[in-house]
Amino acid sequence: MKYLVIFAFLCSSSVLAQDDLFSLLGEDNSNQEVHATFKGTRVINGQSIELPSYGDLQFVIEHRFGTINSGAYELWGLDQSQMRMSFDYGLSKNIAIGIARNSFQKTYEASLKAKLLKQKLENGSPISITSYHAVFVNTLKWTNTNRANLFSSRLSYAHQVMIARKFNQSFSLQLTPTYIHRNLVEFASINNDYLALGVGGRYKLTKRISVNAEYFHQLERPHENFTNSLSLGVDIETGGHVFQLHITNSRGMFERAFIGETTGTWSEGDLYFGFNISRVFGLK
Amino acid sequence: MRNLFFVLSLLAVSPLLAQKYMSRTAEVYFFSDKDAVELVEAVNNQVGAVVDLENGNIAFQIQMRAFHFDIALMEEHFNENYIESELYPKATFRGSFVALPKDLSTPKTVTVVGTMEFHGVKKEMELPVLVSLKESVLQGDAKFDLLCSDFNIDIPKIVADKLANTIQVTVSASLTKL
Repeated sequence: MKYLVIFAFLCSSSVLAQDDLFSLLGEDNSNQEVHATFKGTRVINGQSIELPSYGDLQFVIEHRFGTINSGAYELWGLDQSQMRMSFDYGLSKNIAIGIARNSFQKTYEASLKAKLLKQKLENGSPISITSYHAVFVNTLKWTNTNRANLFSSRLSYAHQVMIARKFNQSFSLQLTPTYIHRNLVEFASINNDYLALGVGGRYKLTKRISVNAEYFHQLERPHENFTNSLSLGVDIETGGHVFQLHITNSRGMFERAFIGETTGTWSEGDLYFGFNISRVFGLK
Repeated sequence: MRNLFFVLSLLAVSPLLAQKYMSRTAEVYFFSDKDAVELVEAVNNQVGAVVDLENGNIAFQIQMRAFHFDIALMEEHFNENYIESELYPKATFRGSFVALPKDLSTPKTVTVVGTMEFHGVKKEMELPVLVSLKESVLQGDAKFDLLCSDFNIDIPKIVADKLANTIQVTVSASLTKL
């Protein structure tokens, strides 16, 4: 009983200052989602786990020039450029849709991207998972008009699952298992389906500049002439824009093209300089 | 005798809670004082606040991630590039009223002195706060300026036309008796 009295008087003493007040408020910082694992919705060529924000329309223009080893006559590739334009829209916090057009094989794209799991700062998932699904439509004129050419022959598909973790403020890493299907292939001996595994990462040098790297390993090559895609780049962020500059051995800018149909090799220097510029418009 | 002790000890404990007022839904709003096309502004209405009228002590706890902007990209940049909310998840203010009038039935301006800790920097501040106490609701309102440069928040040249060094902050809190 005596102790109770002493305890009570201790408690009521005015020694307790604001720290005591803070203990009343408690901590409620445990379950926040991790922000900005990557600056852009693409690591370099491949998709990142990031989506355009809800209600935002993101316009991305991408260019890949000719091979750097084509020499001064071609201004090291700058005379030849291929481009891709895309509009991506955040339908909700977790779902985005997109359309795009590529110069390569005059390909149109439609895509769906969904956030499945989000990394939390503490007490929660240590990783983020996003899935990406795209259909590609090759719209080149048919080379052989004597045979029955079906629209379905123009289609190919990509399905990816992006698994990423932001390890700290600077470093993020992503794994990207990929499945690609082509309805029509060149020869009967070529598989319609193939699998690849991508690895991508970014390291922030300053608050607004990061270096990125990305590699896609083909688990089953559709053809022996096709090489694995390796890209290195720099992201520069300025307010509403993200500029991504990179060097890559892939010229195609959509999944089927750069994962399955890359022809350049780093050792021979047939590399392409390219850039992505993204601009966000708030439509909400 | 036992009962007497018990009552005494209860009496001793009771002032601990008697004069404390708290809110978890106080509001902090800020905007960047610049004539720009896009106004940089955000609101956080999940701010924790406690006031002890016994000794005039005040505590505010502000989760940085609870600031919401109209433009999602602005919110991401605020967290990533400016206040670095993963490193500094919250701001706090601990202070006390300099001289608290006995009668608060009509709003009175009272000076508060204390320490603001924000973006890892501590700064002593003196703020005028409009305080009133009606039907056991303690209402406090304050308006003040913060300088980004005081709290080590860099504003790159490229956005200097959109973002001022001076941030105008408005705080409004209705605290209920604990």
